[in-house]
Amino acid sequence: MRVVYFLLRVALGGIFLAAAWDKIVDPLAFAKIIRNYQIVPDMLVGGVAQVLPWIEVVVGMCLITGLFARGASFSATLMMAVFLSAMAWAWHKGISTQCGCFTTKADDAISVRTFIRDGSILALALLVTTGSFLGARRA
Amino acid sequence: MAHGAARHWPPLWLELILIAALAGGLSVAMNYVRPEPLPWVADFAAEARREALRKGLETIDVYGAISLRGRPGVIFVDARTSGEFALSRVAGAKNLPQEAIYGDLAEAAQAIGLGVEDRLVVYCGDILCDKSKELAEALRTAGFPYVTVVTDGFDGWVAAGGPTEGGI
Repeated sequence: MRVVYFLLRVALGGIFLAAAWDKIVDPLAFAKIIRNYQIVPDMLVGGVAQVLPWIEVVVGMCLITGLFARGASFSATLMMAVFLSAMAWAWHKGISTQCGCFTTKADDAISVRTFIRDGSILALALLVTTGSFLGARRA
Repeated sequence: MAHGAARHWPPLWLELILIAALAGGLSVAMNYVRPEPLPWVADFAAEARREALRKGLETIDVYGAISLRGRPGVIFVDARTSGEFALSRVAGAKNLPQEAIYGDLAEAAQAIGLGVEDRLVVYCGDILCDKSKELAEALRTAGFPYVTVVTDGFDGWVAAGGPTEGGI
């Protein structure tokens, strides 16, 4: 069971690291995507575009190394819930924008595919979070 | 160490604070070393308007642009690529890609039916795109005096529920 938890945790960490790369390379493009969602006030878009990818990096590294595993997995779950809610909001409002999930390029528009993908990652994050908290309780 | 000693975990709130602090520190450091740092606090809409004003261009927000649509003499001009235009556009808009500014713009504009007496409402992809401002500036230089830039871009138009045609 521990091996399965370890593998899931590392996989989730890898996903978060992969998701952060493009956003760190091109923060302006990521800022545009965030703005298109029309959720974050204009004044805060630049700050969010810069901090969010680094939260993903730190969470990803923590998940891979096992350091602060509870905080990292909890953060991952929270982030995925927020991302999915933001996509649902944009979908509901008829906003045509990129997902901004794994790339800042114009080939990842919000669609059923992005909902299924991010929903699967949320499920994975929930599993890892449960494992982290159970592991901490047993220790 | 005694066998079975409990491992001490930091409280969850402390882990969350440490993660946030580390991420904040890294993002500050990364932005510091970037050749072109991104402003932490910036009003993109105001900046887009200021940039257009610096070029001496008239601007309009998306709701004003929607109210202009259908009025006589008003033509929406899409400054994006022909591929983006084909996919989705403001209903009734004409495509004059920004790249046309490097050729004979007046001829290209007249070829798609733009007249010097028309009010040209130019837009591009989103609030941060520059194509509409560049095209509008070049159109004015080419002899089209009544040019207005939609600062919110096509994304803003779609979000505001403006009529579109094409792929969406």
